[in-house]
Amino acid sequence: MLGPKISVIIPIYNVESYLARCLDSCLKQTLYDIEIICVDDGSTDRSAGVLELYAQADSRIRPIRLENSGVSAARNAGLRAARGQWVMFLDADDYLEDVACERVWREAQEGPTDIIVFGAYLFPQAPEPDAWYGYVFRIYTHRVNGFEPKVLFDTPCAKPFIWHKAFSAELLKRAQVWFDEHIGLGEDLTFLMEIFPQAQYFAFIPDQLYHYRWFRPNSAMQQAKRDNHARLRKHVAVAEGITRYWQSQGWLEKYKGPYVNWVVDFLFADVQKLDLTDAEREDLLGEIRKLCDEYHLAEGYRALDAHHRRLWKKTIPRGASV
Amino acid sequence: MSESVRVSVVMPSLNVAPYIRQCVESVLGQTLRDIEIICVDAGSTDGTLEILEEYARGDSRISIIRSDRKSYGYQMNLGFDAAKGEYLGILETDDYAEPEMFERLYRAASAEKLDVVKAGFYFYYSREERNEPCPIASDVQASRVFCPLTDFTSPLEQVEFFNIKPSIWSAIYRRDFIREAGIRFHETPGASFQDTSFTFQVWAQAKRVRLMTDCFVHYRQDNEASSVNSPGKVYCVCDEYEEIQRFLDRRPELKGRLEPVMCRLKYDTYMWNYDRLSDELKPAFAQRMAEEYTRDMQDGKCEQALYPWYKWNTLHVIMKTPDEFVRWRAAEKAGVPYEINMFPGESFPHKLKRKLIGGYHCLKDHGVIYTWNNLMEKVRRRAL
Repeated sequence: MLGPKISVIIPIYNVESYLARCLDSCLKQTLYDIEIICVDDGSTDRSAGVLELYAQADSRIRPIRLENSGVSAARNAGLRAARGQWVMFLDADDYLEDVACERVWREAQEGPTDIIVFGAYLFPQAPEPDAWYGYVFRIYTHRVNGFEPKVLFDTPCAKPFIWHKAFSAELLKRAQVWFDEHIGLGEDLTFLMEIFPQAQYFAFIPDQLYHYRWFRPNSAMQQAKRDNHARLRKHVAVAEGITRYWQSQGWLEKYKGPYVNWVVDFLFADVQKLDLTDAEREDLLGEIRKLCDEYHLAEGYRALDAHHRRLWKKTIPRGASV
Repeated sequence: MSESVRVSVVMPSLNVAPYIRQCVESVLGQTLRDIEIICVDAGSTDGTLEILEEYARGDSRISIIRSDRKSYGYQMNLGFDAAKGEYLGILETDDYAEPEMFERLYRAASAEKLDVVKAGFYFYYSREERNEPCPIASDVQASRVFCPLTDFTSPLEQVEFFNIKPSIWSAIYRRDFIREAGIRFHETPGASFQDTSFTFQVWAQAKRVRLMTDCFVHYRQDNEASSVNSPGKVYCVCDEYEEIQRFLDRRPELKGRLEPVMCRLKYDTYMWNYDRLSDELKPAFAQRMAEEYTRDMQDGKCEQALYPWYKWNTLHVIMKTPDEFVRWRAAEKAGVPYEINMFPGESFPHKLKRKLIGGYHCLKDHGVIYTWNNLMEKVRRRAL
């Protein structure tokens, strides 16, 4: 059985005002041979009605219904249902350029490819998007054959978003990586950290194929940003999950230096810099020290540069003696 | 009888005695009963004709036409001209069909008055009785009726559609469509890829096409006499593309749209043909490719957007230095790294000048670090 060229997976939860535009952009794709898997995660507004309407009009839209169980569960259900040769993720409040699927498919024909990373537009432009987005979407055209840590750690566009990437179904099948349904934040980062080392061929293209709604009043991400302590605790939990997976795959031994470097970037800097009460900071530092002890991350200390060593010493004074 | 014939199955045969019984019986056993079977024999000498006559005595739906020329295209034209059915089907006599094939195809076709319905097939290895399904479409593609000329919004997808395996025998065609469009097989001697130009003409003119995800025909892979396995027919594919060119020249309204697609298809066909040739024949064919593509490029028929970059680059290597292409391709097949020299026989001062200018431009465009790394990389590969 030959699958469609591309499966687009859309998790849907209470997005009635954005969904139509999103689905329109999918149906307008210049590439016809795609399937659009819409996973309705138990919406309580009229999203389900809109979805129903579109599904009746075009058989390429495949609706799936779930009890409300989170975006990760929805994406996993989409992944299980996907039959395409490539898989793309699309959020229901965003939309695609008309040529997105065609461009991805063309790139996939250019040679053996496991993961394609493409550029994106940010909207709305007011309030002004955070500066670091510009850093993430600075993509220059290149290909990498064979995984090396710098693809994951030194290429800014590799993390933390999955929606400006396309994955070959073959890779997904081989890697068997799923979204963690128990963490409320950073499930896409975990997914990327787990799947990138298993891929071999990476293609980076600067074409902006995706329109990303970076700001939405009252969205999950906006709310998460307010409570620094809770957010950082979740960050530690995410790092813990990733480290456990990396250890089980043997990558922690293999890429220890770059990995510890990333952990320092991801956790230590924020704990030092952000606005926290002393009790909260102590609590977080305790968590981080526990993580480092458990996985012997101090062994990677020697590979750090001066800046990261300073951060490390500040966070884990005992570690300085390693 | 002619009123009720739903599908005419044309079966061209030449010396296929070991396989013909399985083939004819699979057609006689079709669940669709209102068919006529037109066997066009080109003068078999191994008893094929006698077997056919034996079947014809037992079933009035079989008729036999004796072709005076050994040409697949001529045989097919004879069969198509004699056909009375609403739809035309083809079955090659070393293959065989699933019993529900023509019923399923006919139902799909007549329900929507389609010009062509095409399904997938199985690669059939008779020695080990192995069938490998080869579907031609996803169910998304199979879910719509479309016109290949106008309904593709992505040129890449159109090329892929035209590039679907030219298994003309896994489809049925509306007879009136074939006649009105004036589609004829190219009557070159023997079996020499006449399906290439036929498929192209069909896709270029069909208005209502549907693909099916199912597989019906078992396509025999281990018949040594099959044309696919004969390395002798070097330039047959070129004749086919000349025929397509003549067809497009007759139809200017199609020519403007489909010429780039034809050139793109030609690339794949020629490369496939090149790879199956024996080593002595390769340089001459590469030369021929170079000449044709140089002409096509000059006429502006090649559209870069239709080619993956490596195919486009290969095309330029072929055009510039066909001999170098032959060596490169051989090394690639053997898994040996090879540096392509696009300037064979270049004098040293000339080369030095070229390298210095190239180095200057690299410095200007990419900076010192990249240039240095690139230089070291080339030294390491001994590619300077």
